[in-house]
Amino acid sequence: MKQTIQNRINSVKAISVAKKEIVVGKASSVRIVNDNLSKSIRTKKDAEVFQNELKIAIQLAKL
Amino acid sequence: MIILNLEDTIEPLWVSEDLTKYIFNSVLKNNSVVELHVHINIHSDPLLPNVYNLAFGPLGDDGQINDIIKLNHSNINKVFSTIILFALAFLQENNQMAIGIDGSNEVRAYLYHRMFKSNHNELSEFLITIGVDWYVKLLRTGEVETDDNGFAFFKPRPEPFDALRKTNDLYRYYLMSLNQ
Repeated sequence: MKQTIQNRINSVKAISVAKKEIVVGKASSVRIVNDNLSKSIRTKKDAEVFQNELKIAIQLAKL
Repeated sequence: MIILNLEDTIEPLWVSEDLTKYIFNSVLKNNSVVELHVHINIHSDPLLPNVYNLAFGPLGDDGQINDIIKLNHSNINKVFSTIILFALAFLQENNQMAIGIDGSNEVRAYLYHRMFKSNHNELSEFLITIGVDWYVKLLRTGEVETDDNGFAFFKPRPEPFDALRKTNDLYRYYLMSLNQ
């Protein structure tokens, strides 16, 4: 990764530490998520299969 | 076409300490300014503990992100570059996690797909992009597997994002993880 990009990421992380006192009243309420992925995961077995396939897909993507 | 440039991003106004929430301003084509919120939320499904969901948009009257609103950004490349930079910041500190993007409607899903497709080579240096399709099992009877309500029992199947896939063949879900 270019150092200029990592520098930008580092500056974002620095803001997260520097402005933490402004958290209260600034962030919105917690978002309720019920997206297509969770709708298709019905059982623990579905989740395990998906997680394993995701690991394989990530490994394949690195090839 | 969305062209990402992670060296040209918008500085955030505020970032949460855990790097899951960001606020930044985008200038629209009519020169007005809209405050955009980015939330990277742990997936509500306890069966997916290492998947986070990313949403972005202005806040609605209910205090929730309005992710279906259509906005005419003066520089949409910069907006998406900023969001991807935030995602990277989060993933660097949470490198075993993946960020999921659902695409609240066809327009958004199309935008995401084009973004990943157009910037696949550049992004692959630090991000793994995964596309997820839904599949249903064909039984030996010739019928498809159904759930308790008699509907087709679709299951998610992830694969490495296929950059050759046409934009009229969108994935149902997109995931990003750190390339490490």
